[in-house]
Amino acid sequence: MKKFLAVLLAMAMVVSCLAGCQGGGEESSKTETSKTETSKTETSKAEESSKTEEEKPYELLDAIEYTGEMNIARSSYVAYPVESDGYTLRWWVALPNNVANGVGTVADTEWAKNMQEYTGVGIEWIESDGSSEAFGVMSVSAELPDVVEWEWANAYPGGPVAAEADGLLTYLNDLIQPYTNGADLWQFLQDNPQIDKQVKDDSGNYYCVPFIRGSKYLQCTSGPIVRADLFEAAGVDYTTISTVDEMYDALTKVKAVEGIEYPMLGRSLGEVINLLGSAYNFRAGMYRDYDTTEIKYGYAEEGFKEFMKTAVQWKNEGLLHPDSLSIDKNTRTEAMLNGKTAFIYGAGGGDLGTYVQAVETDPSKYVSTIKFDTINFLVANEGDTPHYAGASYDYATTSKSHGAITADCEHPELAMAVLNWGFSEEGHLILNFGSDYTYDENGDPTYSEKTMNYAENGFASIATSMAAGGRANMSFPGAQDPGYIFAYYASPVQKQALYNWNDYQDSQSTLIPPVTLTAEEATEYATIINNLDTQVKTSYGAWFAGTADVEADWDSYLATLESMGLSRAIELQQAAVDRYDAR
Amino acid sequence: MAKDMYASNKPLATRIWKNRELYILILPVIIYFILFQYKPMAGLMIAFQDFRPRAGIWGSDWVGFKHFIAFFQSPFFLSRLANTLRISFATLIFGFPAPIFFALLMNELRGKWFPRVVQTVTYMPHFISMVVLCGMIRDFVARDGVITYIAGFFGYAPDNMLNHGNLFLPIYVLSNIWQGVGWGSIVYLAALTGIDMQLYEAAKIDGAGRWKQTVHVTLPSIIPTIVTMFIMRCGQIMSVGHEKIILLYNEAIYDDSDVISSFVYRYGLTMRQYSYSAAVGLFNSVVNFSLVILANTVSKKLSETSLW
Repeated sequence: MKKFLAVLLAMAMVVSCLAGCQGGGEESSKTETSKTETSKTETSKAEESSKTEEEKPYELLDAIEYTGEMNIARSSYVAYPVESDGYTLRWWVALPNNVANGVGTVADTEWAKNMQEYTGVGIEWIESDGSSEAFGVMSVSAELPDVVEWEWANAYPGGPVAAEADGLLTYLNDLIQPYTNGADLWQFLQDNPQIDKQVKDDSGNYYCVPFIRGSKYLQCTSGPIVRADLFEAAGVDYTTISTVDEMYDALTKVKAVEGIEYPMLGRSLGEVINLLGSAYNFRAGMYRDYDTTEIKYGYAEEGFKEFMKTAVQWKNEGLLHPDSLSIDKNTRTEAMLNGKTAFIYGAGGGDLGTYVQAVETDPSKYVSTIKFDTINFLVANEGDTPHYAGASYDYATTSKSHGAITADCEHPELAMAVLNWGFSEEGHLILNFGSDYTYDENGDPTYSEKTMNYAENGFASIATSMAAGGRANMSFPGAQDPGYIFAYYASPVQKQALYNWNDYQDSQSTLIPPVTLTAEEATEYATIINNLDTQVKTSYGAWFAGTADVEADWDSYLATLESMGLSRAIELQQAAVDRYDAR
Repeated sequence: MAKDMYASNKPLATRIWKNRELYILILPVIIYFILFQYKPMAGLMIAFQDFRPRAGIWGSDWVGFKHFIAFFQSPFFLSRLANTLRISFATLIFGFPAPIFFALLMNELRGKWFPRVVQTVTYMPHFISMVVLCGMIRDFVARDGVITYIAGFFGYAPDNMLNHGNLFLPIYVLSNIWQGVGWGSIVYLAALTGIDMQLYEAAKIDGAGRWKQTVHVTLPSIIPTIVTMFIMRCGQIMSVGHEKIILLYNEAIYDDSDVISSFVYRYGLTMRQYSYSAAVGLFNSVVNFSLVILANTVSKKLSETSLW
């Protein structure tokens, strides 16, 4: 019996340790959040900084016209360097890949040094991997950093209103005013009223210093990419393809080309929707109808059903890769370079650029005829303009790089001075391209030759070289200069991609604008939309795999979505958009 | 050792002091349990709140059973509960006896190096990281994977097996056995070495062959171990390892593969509905706890072995 007891004890130890390992991690993270005490917002801090300056130290610039295309920063109100009394800002930032793979750390980049040198304010960089988990841990820490770069419109539970109420960030209304340390940002927003409307909440509060992607060519940088030579080998003039039927005929012919496995490939259903959805007049998730401006949920639209039928048919006929719900990037790159597929959705830089560079670097590895090109988004009828194609608002709410000044910041006016610098005339250029910025033959600002000759300076790629000097090829609190993309898209085919994807489409108005929901609305909306998304994924997964039929399921599918609160979700979103329109 | 060491009439402090080495030995385990098992329980409060991380537990609003009701009324409740029970019981029924059989077989192996090789080979999957292991499984059952290829001989059309909901359960259970059979058998092997050899000799004299010896000596001797392991295993019925599910499932087969713990993970960590997922997790734990009590009670009734 003793032996048995001994064995039992040993066993119990092992088992309990194992059980502990399984359950512990999840729960311990829950309590960590409980440790922090609530720290209430002290709005007085923000107010104190904007002490009214009676005398006006400088003349404000005359107003200029806003044409819809972003007006670049043009004022130099704030006198840099500012007096900081040795105060060092703690700055929470997601370490960008291009920095990690280049100089290594944010603190070692030229732009980080410039920000401190020119503004006269020291910065201690707190790097993170940019994950929601890292943000969560930071947000409950006893003392918040002074500045946090994050996505506030959607990624914070409850939105910016909750973030302010929770004591995380402070409103910047008093800091973004003439004659304050945010005067240049104020001028920029005056110059660009459309952007000003986007970056405020419904009550007119500024809650962050935004990342602005105001130029047209910055707003759609991903789209349909083709292996031009394979289309040509099949006797198809891909440049004239504009409808789904034409693409179907083309892909059928391309399939016969030697080496092709599946002429079309998606990495997720979202990518397949990006390739074909514009022809069926819907977007994935919530969007605005182009004609009626009403809010709709794409997955509940007739267009989605028709799209799904097409996708399944193409899959069954071997035109669309049968694993298109989940294919990793490397597989796709390999398929594209080796002529196994010919039609994908990808980014002009990270994908198309990679292919072009791979062929340039070692042409002997690929067929000599290899040629890439891009086409415009597909449409329903010949001659239509795509209304549901790739696009973005000027206020780039998908990027996690909008600088908020936290409630714990002792000197918000200093934080604002640093953030404002990127919106001053010179600061904009230095922050974007580095202090050695120059001008191209058209007189537009661009990177220095030194940055462009990346290999000579020991960088592995143009992107890492750019990221060492300026922030333009990443997201950052500031306005991205359009000159960056044409410098970054080195090859003619990439530059052409920007024209192909952006020049002949009108899609921004069908996106949901940067709305702000109230905290209660946000919770209710999140619950519904999470359930809807789960159901939608399950359904289209089964349809695409062929284990269920979209036509047969459609009515019960719609009924299920409705029972989950689809109408209510649309109603909430519609109300938020109406408030946005009324700003 | 003096006999009065274990006497219970002495004050607790005296007894602890007398056995201080033993207490020091168990101290790390106690600390571990307090820190990682008991302390986190306080955090369960957020299941009854609309928890906002920055506001903290004391600053968030109390909402009672709102999140529990929302989960019970959710269209996913029944299917996720059913999946959890289905996958769990399948793992229990097929996965639990496997290490026992394996240990019995190992026990019969003779020779020096052969049992060791077998042991090492079967332990190996246990030491592979779950992420890598699931990556391997995914590759094996992919469209061009080795298992898919073999299944092709039996008329299976080449397609990614993980796209078919009805195949998820077998893939999960079989890979679980592959992964755990070697490691799981250690406990039983340990119990087997504890069997008095005289029992075998007696059985042999009575004319028992190998089979009879196994049935009448070996198995009865390790039954207490088996029962204890079984009760403990029952406590985990609802806690299907969410890591493995998450690494194996995909959106096409949510209806067949999504279990409560993966549901909690998705809603809590990726969708950041902290309170809701805490409520779902708490429900899961309560069911688990009830099952342990049930299993223990049944075991107490049927055999003398029980945890308490």
